[in-house]
Amino acid sequence: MKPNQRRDLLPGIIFLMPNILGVLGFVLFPVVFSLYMSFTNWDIRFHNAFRNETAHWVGLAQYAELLQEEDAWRFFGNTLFLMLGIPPAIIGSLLLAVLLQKLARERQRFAGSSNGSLLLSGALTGAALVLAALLSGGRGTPLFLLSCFAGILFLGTLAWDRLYVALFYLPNFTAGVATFVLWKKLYHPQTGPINAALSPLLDILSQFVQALPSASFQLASLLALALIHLIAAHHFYRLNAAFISGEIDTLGFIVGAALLLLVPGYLLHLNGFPSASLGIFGILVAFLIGLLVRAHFIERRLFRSNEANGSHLLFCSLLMTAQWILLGSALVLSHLPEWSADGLVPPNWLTDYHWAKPALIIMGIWMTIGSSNMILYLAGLTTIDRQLYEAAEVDGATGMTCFWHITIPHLTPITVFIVVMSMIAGLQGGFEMARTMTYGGPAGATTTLSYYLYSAGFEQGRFGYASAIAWVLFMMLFAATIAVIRSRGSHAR
Amino acid sequence: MHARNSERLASPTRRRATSPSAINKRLPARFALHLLLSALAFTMALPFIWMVLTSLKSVEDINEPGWMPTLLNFGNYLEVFEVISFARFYWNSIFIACWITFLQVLTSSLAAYSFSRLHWPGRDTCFLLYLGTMMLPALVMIIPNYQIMVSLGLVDTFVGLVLPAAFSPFGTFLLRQFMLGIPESLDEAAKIDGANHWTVFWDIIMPLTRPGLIALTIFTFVAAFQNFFWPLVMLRSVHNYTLPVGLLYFDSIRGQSTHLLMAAVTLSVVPMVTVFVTLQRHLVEGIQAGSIKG
Repeated sequence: MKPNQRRDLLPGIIFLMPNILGVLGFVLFPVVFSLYMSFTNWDIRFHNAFRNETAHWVGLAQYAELLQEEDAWRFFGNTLFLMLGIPPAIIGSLLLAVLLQKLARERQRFAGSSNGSLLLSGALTGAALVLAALLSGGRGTPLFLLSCFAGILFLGTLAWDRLYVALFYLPNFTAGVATFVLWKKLYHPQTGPINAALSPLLDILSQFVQALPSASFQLASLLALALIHLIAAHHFYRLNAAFISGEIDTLGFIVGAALLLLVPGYLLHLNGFPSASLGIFGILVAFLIGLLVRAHFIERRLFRSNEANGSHLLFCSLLMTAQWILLGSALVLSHLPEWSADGLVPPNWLTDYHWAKPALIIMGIWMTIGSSNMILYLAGLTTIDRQLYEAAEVDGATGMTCFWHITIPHLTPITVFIVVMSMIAGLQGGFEMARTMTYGGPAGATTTLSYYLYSAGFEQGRFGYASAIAWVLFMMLFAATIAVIRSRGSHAR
Repeated sequence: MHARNSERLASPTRRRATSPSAINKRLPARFALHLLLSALAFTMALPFIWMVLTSLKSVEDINEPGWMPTLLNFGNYLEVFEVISFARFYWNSIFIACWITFLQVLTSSLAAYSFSRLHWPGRDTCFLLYLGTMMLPALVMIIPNYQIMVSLGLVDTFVGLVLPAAFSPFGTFLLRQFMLGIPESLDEAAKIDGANHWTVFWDIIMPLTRPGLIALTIFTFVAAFQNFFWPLVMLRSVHNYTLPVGLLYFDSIRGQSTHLLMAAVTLSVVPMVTVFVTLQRHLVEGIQAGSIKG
């Protein structure tokens, strides 16, 4: 021990003491205690101030019950379904950041010269919008909304990107019970503004649908389904090529393939080909096990990851989200003619079993698109050397190519961080929405694992069981985080 | 190759930046960008616009499909305070959030000083272990913490709300990031002049960590103000409710009166908007510092 280290030991401990005691008492001890509780039949109905029957050690019984509980699996599915909103939100954040950064650069370029022409055009467009609304005989609401829009535009030409950043970030900053209650009212089937705005649009749509032969919708639905398989096949081919050339490792290949084939597999299952889907599933599993064995024992490259791994996996999860959206629209398209036969009505959103989750996803995207993710991307964009783009332009690269080959790779470390944080939040999420908007309903459609934990623990009083849920959740979080960090490989450090 | 190309390109770029004719040529593109972004921002703001407009409606036009109130009825806001002890919820929330913020910033900055400035043996190992606790999900802690509060008799008290939130590994991590950026020669010089650790900490390090302290204050305050799960579980009596729990309570008793509910929602959003507008500048720095993994 060096003398100055010894000299610092006592003050070091003293300065640390208040915090470390609190963390020991309210973080570390509870975690250990929670693990203990999950192995007992702790229940406040029997174990409280009035009736003290001691909790018994039951070993893994709570975990066994949890794994056998069909509802628990359904709630896990709900949690994953709600997490489908994460990729679109992250992409949205990225696109917003790119637009904002373009504007910020314009602002810097502008510094010193007059802003007059832009201000003038902003003001003129705003005035024209309001005038158009006035002349079209629009009553109060459209006029007011248009002048709000014109006001934002005008202020935007004054304050540049800073105003937009603030407006995009606000929903995330204020997110909480208040905004959930607000959205509950927005989604109200009869009095909410969303359905009020949708029903005239849907009337037009239903007339349009009735005018077209219903076969065309079947065709469009089939096309969407075909597209799902096409995406899977095409990208599976590319993934395979990347795997053979050693660009990605075996684990990346397997996870990527699983992501791509999930929706086609689900489709098979949905269409009632259990034997066929089982057969294909069996073949796939055998194939993947073979790959794993070969990679691990012969080529020894199970985890030889590099930076391509992470971006391939991100791309696969993106494509999977696209496949889910296609699947949803295929289902809607195939039912559209029969629905519109007697006029389309807007959905009941939160009280409808099938629409409650999409409703929450839409709200979630509104809340997270301008979150700190956007700010991190903005910061990341400013650190990319402009000269890279200029050099690429000279070589004849288009904007799109630059985006794929310069912007995206440079932002990969930030993306990995955002994905990890979003996954952690997503797996634990949904409690506040469920408690304030739906009470987990209708029929458990919006019950996530965190709400399940709450209702098991604090509504039924089964602390042991709830602790087991918490620990299963924790293990999933841990595994997911490790997997993502591994896939980003060594280059990030 | 990039470097050579960029050298060749550096000068035309700079010229383009200053030439007024080039700026005017780019005007349509720039204006389209403004139009697109303001349309997006407008869409994001729509729920808030509806919220404020509805909170000003009177009972008569609450079921009208139009968004505009026929008469601006500011009385709704007063009625919220009459229907329910909303002022009390406000006070509770602010009181609790202030205590949590104060304690967390204090304990975190002390710990961050120890982790960044003092060179005791085993410090970095200890810090890594400490960082590991950041990975523990809050959901795991809630049930045992509740049981602890039951045993201490702190259920339905403010102390029970404040204590578990007063110590955070994240705060320590964030402030350590900021403190590592301060050159160590400063405190060496102060120590030669005979300053003790407390003086170095309080008079030198703390003032220089100001941006970090502000960022942590905002994060902690907002998180404490918006926290829902823990108060919901802990609080029993209505006069102890914090704003989110109180709002839910209001929704359960008067949720049918949309105009009153929206007035209450607006009132609970206002503190956040105020914090945001006044301190926006400091937030960005904090978000960036917090994301750089040590």
